[in-house]
Amino acid sequence: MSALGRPSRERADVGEAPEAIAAAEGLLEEGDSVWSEADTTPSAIEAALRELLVERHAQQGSVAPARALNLIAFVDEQWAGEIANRMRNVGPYHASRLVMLSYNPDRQRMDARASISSHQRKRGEIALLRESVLVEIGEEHLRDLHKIVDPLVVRDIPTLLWSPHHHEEAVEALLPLAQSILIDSIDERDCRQALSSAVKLTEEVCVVDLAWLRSAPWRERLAGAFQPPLMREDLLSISEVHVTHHPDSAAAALLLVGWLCARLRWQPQRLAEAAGAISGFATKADGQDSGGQGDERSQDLKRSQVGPRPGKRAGAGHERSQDLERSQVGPRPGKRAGAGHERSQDLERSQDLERSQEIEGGRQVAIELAADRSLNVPGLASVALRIGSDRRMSFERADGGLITHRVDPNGQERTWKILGASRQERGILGEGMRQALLRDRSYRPALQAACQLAPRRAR
Amino acid sequence: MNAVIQQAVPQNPLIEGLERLPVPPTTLVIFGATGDLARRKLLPALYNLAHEGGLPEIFHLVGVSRREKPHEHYREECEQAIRRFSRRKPDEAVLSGLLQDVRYVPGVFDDEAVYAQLAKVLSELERIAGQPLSRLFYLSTAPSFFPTIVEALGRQGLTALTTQTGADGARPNRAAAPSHAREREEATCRVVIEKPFGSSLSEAISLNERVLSVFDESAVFRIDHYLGKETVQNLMALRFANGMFEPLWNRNYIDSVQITAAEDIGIEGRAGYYDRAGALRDLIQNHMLQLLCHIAMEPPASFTADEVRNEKVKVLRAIHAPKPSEVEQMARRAQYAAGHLGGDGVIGYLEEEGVREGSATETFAALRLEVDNWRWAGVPFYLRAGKRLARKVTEIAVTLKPVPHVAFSEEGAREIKPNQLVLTVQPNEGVSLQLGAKVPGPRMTIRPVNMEFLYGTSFLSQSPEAYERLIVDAMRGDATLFTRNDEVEAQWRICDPIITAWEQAGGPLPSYPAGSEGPAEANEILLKGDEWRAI
Repeated sequence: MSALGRPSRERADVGEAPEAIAAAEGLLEEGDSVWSEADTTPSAIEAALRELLVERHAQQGSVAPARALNLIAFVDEQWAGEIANRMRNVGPYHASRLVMLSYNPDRQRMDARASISSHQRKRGEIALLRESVLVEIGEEHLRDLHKIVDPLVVRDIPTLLWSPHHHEEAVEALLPLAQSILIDSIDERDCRQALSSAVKLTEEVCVVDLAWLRSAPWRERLAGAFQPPLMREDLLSISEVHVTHHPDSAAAALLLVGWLCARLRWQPQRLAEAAGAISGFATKADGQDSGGQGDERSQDLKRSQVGPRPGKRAGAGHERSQDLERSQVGPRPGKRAGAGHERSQDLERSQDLERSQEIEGGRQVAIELAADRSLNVPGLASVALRIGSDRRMSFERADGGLITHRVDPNGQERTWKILGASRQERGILGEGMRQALLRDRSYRPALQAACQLAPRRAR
Repeated sequence: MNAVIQQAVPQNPLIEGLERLPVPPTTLVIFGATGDLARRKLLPALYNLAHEGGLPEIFHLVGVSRREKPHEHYREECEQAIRRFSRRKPDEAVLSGLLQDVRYVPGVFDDEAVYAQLAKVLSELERIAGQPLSRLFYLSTAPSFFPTIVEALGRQGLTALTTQTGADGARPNRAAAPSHAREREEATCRVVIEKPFGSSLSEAISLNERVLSVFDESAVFRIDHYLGKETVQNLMALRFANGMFEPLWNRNYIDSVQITAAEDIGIEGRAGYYDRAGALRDLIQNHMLQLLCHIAMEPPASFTADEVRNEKVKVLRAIHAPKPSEVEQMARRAQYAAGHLGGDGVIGYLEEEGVREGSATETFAALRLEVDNWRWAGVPFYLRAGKRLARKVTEIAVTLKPVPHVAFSEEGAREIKPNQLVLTVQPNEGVSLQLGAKVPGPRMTIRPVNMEFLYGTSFLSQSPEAYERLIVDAMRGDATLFTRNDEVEAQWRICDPIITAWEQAGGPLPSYPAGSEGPAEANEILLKGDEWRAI
């Protein structure tokens, strides 16, 4: 490693770096060019980056600076090391320039370190340069935060903002510099609040939501299941949706159901939370019904058995098959979705009648979301659908893919695994970087629907 | 032949916004399943698709090859190939899931019993799946087996899946149709045919006739893996998503186009194939003419398979096919002799193992073609391809006409060169524009400088291998990146007279030292003032 810096300023070598810089050692790799300076200024950092680039070019001709994406990460100083590790593990999806702002409210002085690393995939190819800047700041720097950061981002390329520790004041200050913001809707305790905040953000910038990205394989498989032309008609007949999720990932489950509502033109209704599950219904648009099998379907709904039992993830085989038989989806006897405790018996009866009429008309889709405590990674554990009165389809997380289970109208059952490796959390973060360069048109409508579905207090 | 579903089906609303579009349940049958292409490219591509969740929800793989071996041995071979050649370390659960039900059918391709056995395997897989599956037959064999296999598939009824439509072309009543009948209607049979598609125009026509006697053209996917490369697709993005190029993209501003496919390697033990093919058949007839089409085609009305291919065919038809007497003026060939590469001595082509004694097969070919249409009349398109050249590079250089008047002093303007736009396909995929710029200092001296854009610097994604994209496209029935029958015949129509003239002339051929820029004779086909770019 080399260290550059102006003689007139204090130099902080890596070995004697301040605490947060040492913690963020994960940002550095062997062979990186490094500059660091205590009590520095944005212009000094920016000048150092240029010097590092020239130095790197002189050392190795076949290098080129990557110019794809700036990432501004505003992190708590005590967690800077952890965030640096996460950033290091995003695989090929590193931001071209990372500006990490390490925040300690008591800090008076602004220290910084800039580094350049190069990555050559194959011999003879040009190596791409990635630049990282770590800036240590305190409360007094928040006032002019955007002025500190503005000179440090590469102009004319997209900038992604990430505040994993939820510093709203920093987000507010830095948002004008960014075109996208990286969030994770499952991070907040109140998922309704999380989804509402995300909706507000979508009015200003493109939102890349890791909770949404985690659901991509599920959405792809659901879309794939209905892709055969004759299956598409069955989209009109979906009558129940059941999703199980990590206990902290209700927002992810709501986003998935919100996506179905948005894509299939279902009118979302506020769900209710009771006994650890969230349930309720959405209403189909005029002209959609569940296949004209009203009475039969209504009867079936009462004894509906779709998908794995909430809270218990089955692997495969007999155990799972038995789980499927036992599992229940849709309104539970005695626990009517959408009815709060405060409602009177009369009101409940009246609503039940109304709802029963809708069900018989096939216009309602029963929805149930349940936490699966055996799932140890964020996201979804299973998705199950009932189609009309006689078809069922479910997807369940498993090692190396999703196990799908189908029940045909004639009662024939099939179970198999649809292949796909887990991207794991580091892969999801990398995917978040990549998505900042794209625009997923289906997210916002799904988010808005999810927001309408979200119960008043749900984790 | 496959019937075409006539009735319009509404779009699946769930696919909106998805990056990966659904692929129908499919059984992929690879003929030549133990060959080099299957091991190095196809199996790793299938694994990577499985890893990313890109395979259909129901997918089966069947290998067909000559050697007798049980299914388990073939699975082990697949596993070894994937572990060795995959671009990523396999996830054990995905790998095991992919291979657990792989089937193997042994036998020679002209033995009808092979197809009867294959039919049994396909039926069994459909029985297990509980529904009919689309079939994709991938011909990764020696070209001489292509018609044999296709015709046997037809005779054995292995291509007859999608014939459940009514007499009026309408689909049967859904409610009345049993589940399997409905799914059978939706399943398809397609065939992927590797290159080379024939070794002459007459062979290509004959092969097309035989293939099309079994499959509908819409079910035939003639593969040219160059078209699956991200950078080749980017050529279309560069031309048709950027307004700045179109006003210049014609004979008024472009002086010449030069397409180079240089390799530093030799024939790598493939003498059996290469000594019969040569550089013209191996690279120019397919890959390089495709690159030319991408550069010269008119903007298609839409990026559907037929619209794109219609425009490419127009370009190929506008290229003047030389008469025998014209070949000498527009084509050169040569063979590499012993030389040095990377500091090591290497042998010449005629000394390579397996090459026929006194072989007149060219390892270097250079052509000057003209596209006789309104846009390109008079603009030479230079194509060259060769082995054992100074380095590996595939690029397209578009040279603009010089400025009409130079106001600078003669000394300062000496180094002014026409602008050159260079599109590099590999390695270092990207675009560079050569501009004239002032050298810093008191005098107005102009020198050329490069403004470079590298694709790798502007996107965070890793490019998938070409075969990953192409296999999925074939399973989905998207033929945009495949060559149509009239396209391949038009390619041969251009190359056939040159091959004939060269075969009649025989050898010996001019030579060039291995590791060099190619033969000096290549300069003889250049128009006055033009020169080859340094390799």
